[in-house]
Amino acid sequence: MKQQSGFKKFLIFSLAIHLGFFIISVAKVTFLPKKTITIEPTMRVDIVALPDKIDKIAPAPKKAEEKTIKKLAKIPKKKPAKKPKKKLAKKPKEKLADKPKEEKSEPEATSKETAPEETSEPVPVIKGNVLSKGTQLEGLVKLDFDDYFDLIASTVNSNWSTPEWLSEEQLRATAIIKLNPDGSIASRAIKESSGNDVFDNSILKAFDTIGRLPEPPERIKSLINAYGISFGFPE
Amino acid sequence: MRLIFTLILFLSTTAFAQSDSSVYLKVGKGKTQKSLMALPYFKYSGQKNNIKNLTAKDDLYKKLFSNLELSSYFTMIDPKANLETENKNDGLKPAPHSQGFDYKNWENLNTDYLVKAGFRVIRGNIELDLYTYYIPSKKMIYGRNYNAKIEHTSLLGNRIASDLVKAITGKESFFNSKLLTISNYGGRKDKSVFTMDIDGSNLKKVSNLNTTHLSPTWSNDGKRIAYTAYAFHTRSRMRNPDLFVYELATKKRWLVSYKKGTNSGAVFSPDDSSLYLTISKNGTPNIYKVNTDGKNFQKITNGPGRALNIEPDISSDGKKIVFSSDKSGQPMIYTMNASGGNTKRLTFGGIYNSQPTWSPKDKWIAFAGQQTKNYDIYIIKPDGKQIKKLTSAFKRNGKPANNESPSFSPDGRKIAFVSDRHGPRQIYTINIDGTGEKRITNDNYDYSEVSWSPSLD
Repeated sequence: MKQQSGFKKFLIFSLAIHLGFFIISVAKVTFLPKKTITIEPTMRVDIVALPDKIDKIAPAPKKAEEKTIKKLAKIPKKKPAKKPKKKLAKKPKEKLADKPKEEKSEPEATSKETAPEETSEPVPVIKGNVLSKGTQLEGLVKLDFDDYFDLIASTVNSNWSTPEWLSEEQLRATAIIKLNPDGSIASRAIKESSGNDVFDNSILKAFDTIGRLPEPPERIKSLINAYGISFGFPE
Repeated sequence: MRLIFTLILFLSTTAFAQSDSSVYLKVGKGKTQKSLMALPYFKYSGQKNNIKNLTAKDDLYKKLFSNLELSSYFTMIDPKANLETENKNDGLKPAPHSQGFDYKNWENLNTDYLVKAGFRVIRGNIELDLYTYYIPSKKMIYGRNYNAKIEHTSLLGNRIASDLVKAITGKESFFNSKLLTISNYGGRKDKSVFTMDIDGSNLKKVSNLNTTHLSPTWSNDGKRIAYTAYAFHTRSRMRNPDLFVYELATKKRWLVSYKKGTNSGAVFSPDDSSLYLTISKNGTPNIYKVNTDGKNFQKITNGPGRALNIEPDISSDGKKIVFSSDKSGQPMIYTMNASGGNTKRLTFGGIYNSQPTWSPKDKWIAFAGQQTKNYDIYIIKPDGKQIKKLTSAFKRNGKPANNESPSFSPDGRKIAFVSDRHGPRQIYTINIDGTGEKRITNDNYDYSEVSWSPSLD
C-alpha cells in the first residue's frame, strides 16, 4: 500500500512536470516570434587552419618518414605489427618515458605498414585563409536566388500602397504566398495581422493586382515550392 | 494512466515542433494613395413636389461632396458612374435588407468607401440618415442620423464631412474652421477684415474702421482675432498702424499697442495671454511681447544695428520664435528662443524670404520666398533642412505669379495663401506635398492676406 501511494505521488508529480513543459512549449510557439530565414547579402569565411604554422610543421613528418624508409631498407622482414600497437594503445606514455629504443622500433613497425599508404596517398598540406565550400548557396544558384527574390520584393513594393492616414501609424504585417509552377500566385494570406483592416487589405490587394510573378528559376523552385514565400510589410 | 502518459508525450512532441521555414522578404515602405469613395445622390423620402426641399438636398450634397474631395484623403467617384438606379436595389443598407444594395457593384469599381444617405424634410428641418461602408471587408463602419434647419445646410455639410473623416481616418479635419482675410470685398475703397468659410462662402466683415487693415491673426482658442488698422490719432492728426484685438462672441474690441510707428504682424502666444508683434517706435523694427491688455512690453530682439527683425510667429510649445531679419544683408528666415537668444539662420538662398509661420505641430515652417522676381510658397524643417517649393503658377501674361501669406490648416496638411495669377489676389489652398492646389475665392476682389483658424467646435 505504501509503495502504491508513493508511486501515485510520483505519477502526479511527473504529470505536473509534463503538463508544465507542454504549456511552456505551446506558449512559446504561439506567442514568441518564429525563426525565419531572412535573405540578406552576407559573406562567409571559413578558416579551416592557421596560416604558415602548418607549413613549418608539415616537413617534420617527412623527415621522420624518410628515416623510417631508410631503416626499412635495412630490416625488411620483421612483423611486429600487432603487439606494438597493443602496447601503444594501453600504455603509450610509460613506454615513451622508459624505453626510448622501443619508440624507435615502433615507428619502424608502423612505418612499414604505412609506407605503402604514404606513397599512394600523400599527406595533405593544410593551408589557412581558404574559403570552404560551406553549406550555403553559391555560384550561379546563389546569383539566381538573389536576383529572383530582389525582383519579387521590388515588384510587390511597387504594387503596394496604403492610405495617407496610415503612413505614420507604424503598422506592420506579414503575408505568405504560394506560387504555381508558372509563377502565378496560387494563394495569398495574412500571416500576422497589423490589427488594422485597411492595412491588411492593402497587402492582399497588392498581390491581387500583381496576379503573376516571374517564374522561379529551376535551380530554386524546390526552395520555394514547399513553404511558399513570406513577406514583411514594411519589414 | 497509460493513456494520459501517451497523450502528454504526443502533445509535448507536437508542441516542440517547429513552424515553417519559408523564405522571408522585406518589402520596404510602400506608396501612399487616396482611397476611392462613392457618394451616390441622396435618396429623398419626402414630397417630391416640394421644390425648396429638393434644392436643400442638392446644396447639402454638393457641400458634402466638395468637402470630402477637399480633404485630399479621397478620390470621389463620379456619381454618374453609379451602377445602381433608382427604385431598384439601391437601398441604404446591403442585401438581404429590403432593396438592399449589392457589394459586388462597388467592388467592380474598386471602391474603398461607400457613403449612402437618405433624407426628408419635416417642419423646416432636414433629417438625414447616413451610412458608411468599407467595401473590401463588406461592413458598415459609421452610421448616424443628422437633423438641422434648412438654412444651415452649409454647416451640416461641414459637420458630416468632419465626422466621416474622423470615422474613417481617425484624424481631425478642418471643415469646422474658418479663414480670416484682408479684402476690398464689396467694392470698398479700403481693405477690411473678413471671416469666411473654408470654401470661400459666407463672408462677414469684422473690422469697424474705414481704413486700411493688415496682418490678421487668430487666437489659439479661435475666440479672438488680432489685426492692425491705420487708426487716426487725434493728437498727432495722423494715421498710425495700431494693433487691435476683437472678441468674436461678445464683439468687444480694444487697442493693445499704438506706439508711434509700426504695431503689426502680431501672433498670439500658445496660451493666448500675450502677443508677439513688430514695433518700430525707435525707427528700427524689432520684435516685442505684450500682454493682451496692452501692458508689460518686453523687447525680444535687438538689431544688430539697424537690422530689421519682423513678422514673428511662435511655436505651439511656446519655446521658439521664427521671424524674418535682414541682419545678413537680405531678409532671411531665423529662429530664436522665445525669451531671446540662440538665434539660428534657416535660409541662405533667394533674394527676400518673409512671412514665416509654424505648422500646428511645429514640424514645418512655411514662408514666402523670392528667388528672382516673384514670390512662391516654401516649407522648411525647423532645423533648416528639407526646403521644398510648393507653388509655381504663371499669370495670363506668362510671367511667374506671386504667391504669398502662407497659413497652415489646423491639421497641418494644407496651406492657404494668396496668389495674383488671375489678376486681383485670390485665396488658394495647397497640400504640403505640393499637390491638390485649389482656388477658394472666385471673384474680382483683392485678398491681400489670409489666416487659417484653429478648429472651431
